[in-house]
Amino acid sequence: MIKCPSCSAELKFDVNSQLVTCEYCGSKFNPKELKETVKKAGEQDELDPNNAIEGKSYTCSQCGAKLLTFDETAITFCSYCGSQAMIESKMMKTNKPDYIIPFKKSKEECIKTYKKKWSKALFAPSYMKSDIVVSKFRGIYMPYCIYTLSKKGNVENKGSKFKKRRGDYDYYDDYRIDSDIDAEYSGISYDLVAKFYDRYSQAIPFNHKEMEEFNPNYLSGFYADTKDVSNNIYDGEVTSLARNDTTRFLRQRKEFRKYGCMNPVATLDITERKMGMFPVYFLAVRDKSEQKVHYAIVNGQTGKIAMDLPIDFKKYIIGSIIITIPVFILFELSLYLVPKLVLGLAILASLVSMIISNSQLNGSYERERHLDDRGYLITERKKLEKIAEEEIEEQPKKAKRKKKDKYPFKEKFAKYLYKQFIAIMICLLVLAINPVHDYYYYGGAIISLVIIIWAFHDLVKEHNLLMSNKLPQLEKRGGDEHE
Amino acid sequence: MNMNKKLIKILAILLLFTTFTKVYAIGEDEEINLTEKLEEVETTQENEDEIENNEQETQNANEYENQETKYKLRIIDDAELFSDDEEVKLKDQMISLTSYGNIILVTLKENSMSTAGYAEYYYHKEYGTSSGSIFVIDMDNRNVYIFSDGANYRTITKRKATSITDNVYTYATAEQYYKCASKVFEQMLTLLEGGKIAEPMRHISNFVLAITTAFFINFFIVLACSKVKKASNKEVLGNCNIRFDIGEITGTVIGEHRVYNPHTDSSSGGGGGGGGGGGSSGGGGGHSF
Ligand SMILES: [Zn+2]
Ligand SMILES: [Zn+2]
Repeated sequence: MIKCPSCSAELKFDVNSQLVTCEYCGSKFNPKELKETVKKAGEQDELDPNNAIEGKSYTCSQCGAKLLTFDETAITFCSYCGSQAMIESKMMKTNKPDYIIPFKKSKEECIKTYKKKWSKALFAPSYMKSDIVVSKFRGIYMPYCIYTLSKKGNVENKGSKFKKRRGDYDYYDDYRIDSDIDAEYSGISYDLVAKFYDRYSQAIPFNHKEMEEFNPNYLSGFYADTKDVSNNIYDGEVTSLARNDTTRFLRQRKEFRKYGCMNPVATLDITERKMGMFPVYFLAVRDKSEQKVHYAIVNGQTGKIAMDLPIDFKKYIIGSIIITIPVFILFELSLYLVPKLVLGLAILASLVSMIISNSQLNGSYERERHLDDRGYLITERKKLEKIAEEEIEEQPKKAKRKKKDKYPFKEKFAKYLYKQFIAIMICLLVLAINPVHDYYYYGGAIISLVIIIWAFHDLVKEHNLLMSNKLPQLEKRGGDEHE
Repeated sequence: MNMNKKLIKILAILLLFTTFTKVYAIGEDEEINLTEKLEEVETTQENEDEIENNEQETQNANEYENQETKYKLRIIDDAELFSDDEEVKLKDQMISLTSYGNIILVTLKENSMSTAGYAEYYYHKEYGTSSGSIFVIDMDNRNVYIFSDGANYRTITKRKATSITDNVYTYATAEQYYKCASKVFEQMLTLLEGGKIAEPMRHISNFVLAITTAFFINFFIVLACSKVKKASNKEVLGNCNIRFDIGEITGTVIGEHRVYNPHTDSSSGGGGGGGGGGGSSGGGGGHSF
């Protein structure tokens, strides 16, 4: 905790002025200079002598999330699950990060962004818009791993070039292309909190050009999350990201094409993994069933937002009925369909509905197993490893199998897809019988279309599932109950 | 992610289907024009004689010419579906249609062409492209068909013709041919006088389709709005510091390999496309019964 040099009251970092302010006497300080002032005053031994930052820690009794505060503010609710059962514990030390990006957007700006996004979401449930909910946005510094990759020296590429033609064969010369490279990529980062899911964090990237040396003064008045993922799990992603990018530099040199190499690459080595604290505004809203949370996360530096937008089914139906009117008028004016074509369109609608439903089901299957979240997957796997050491050898195989892990079609069919299937069968049946009377065609088409409209209930339900997260506590943490 | 690919797939299917449906909708008549034309040419010779004979027999009794407009009326009841009494009543009804164009009623016992093909062929043979309509009850193909041309076609369009036949085909099925024909001329007159005819099924199916479309539109809007998009690699790399220097580049031959590639003449193929079909005017619609 940093105290005001003139009156010893608490200091807080003010986003708008980017200065540390004393709420009591109104003094303002540049956070970059304040540390020295305090040191010169010589009265503080609280400051980090052993490369650690200290804060009061609060643990959520429901989901186990751990947050740190750096002032007297108590944490009354959990940012990940919304629970109000926060257990206060003593001062806690964590490793001092290397870098920090201070908050550049104020909470007011963050709320404005959130509300703007809402105003565009026509069918969003109103319970997420209430001011009480919105006020729960919390500024948290998230621990990130910041990678530096570099390469200095020779890089080998292969190429082959057409030389001649003999008989029925084309002959090529094979080349080894040596290039002297001096390259560095610094500032690719990944979050180190398992509960801060990849799909949000990777949607709101930070600009590392504004990164500063870590300075604890920026933390005052905000919260910090604690790292619970080891800092090397994204090594593979980072390496291939940089590797793929090198092609664009190498291609600028004509030599590669000359020797028949169209896609030259250079593999860079990871030379540094530093830790940074990056600012986000985090909001968790429980849905009515109290079984799910929707997240809204705003990047505290850029103001970009990643959020779940569920659908209120009632609003969706009303909205659809309103749209029906102009569409109907348009159809009346422009469309003349022979009965068979109406049937064809009903089949088409069923197919489209089926494809959407199918991809949704696949998505929620992946979500349930966290196949889309590397940080979570690996932490879980580590826990498994601890339990059954002998399984380690099987891990690579298991990882491969996990990639192919798919929702069995039979189950999907039994859950939702049978509806669209019935609709299609009705249409095909009518087409097969090929009756004279139009009423059969129209009747068949209308029945199938009604089924499709009914199936929209499933689509919306599944969409909402994808737009939410299970309450963290329900996720069988600990491993013993694992499937 | 996955969803993106799926969406593209959906759109592709949609596109394919709409083009298909368009082709189908137009194709009903176009098909006749292209494939039947050939048959027509072969069969017309034989038919012509027959038709000519029929004409001679029935000419005087069932013909009429509007003195003001010079449009003509003709009834050829080859399949003998109408009593003399009914024919007179139909003729009275059809006379009012001659203010707008020629009007022909044909019933066929045997027909080697399609109903649509016959209707078009017969009308063009008799009156060319001048304004008028022909209604055919084809007992051979069990089909009713209306074909119009000239000014009449502007009112009794293909769609309208289909609507009329949709409304009356049930009478043909029930063997109430007089009622069927009478209803046709009644609705034609309504249309030509600027009125509207009932198209109940069309409205119902359009309405259900409109609801479904609305549900889809809204759902696609939701999908587009709520997608949490992963930042592109370009964006991620744009946020970091990159330095990339390349020094000397040398290429060294380390071997050779060969690829089997038999000599095939890669001559550019493809003759020119066939010429467009001859322009045919008019159009109509029908319904089987
Ligand atoms: Zn003060
Ligand atoms: Zn919690």
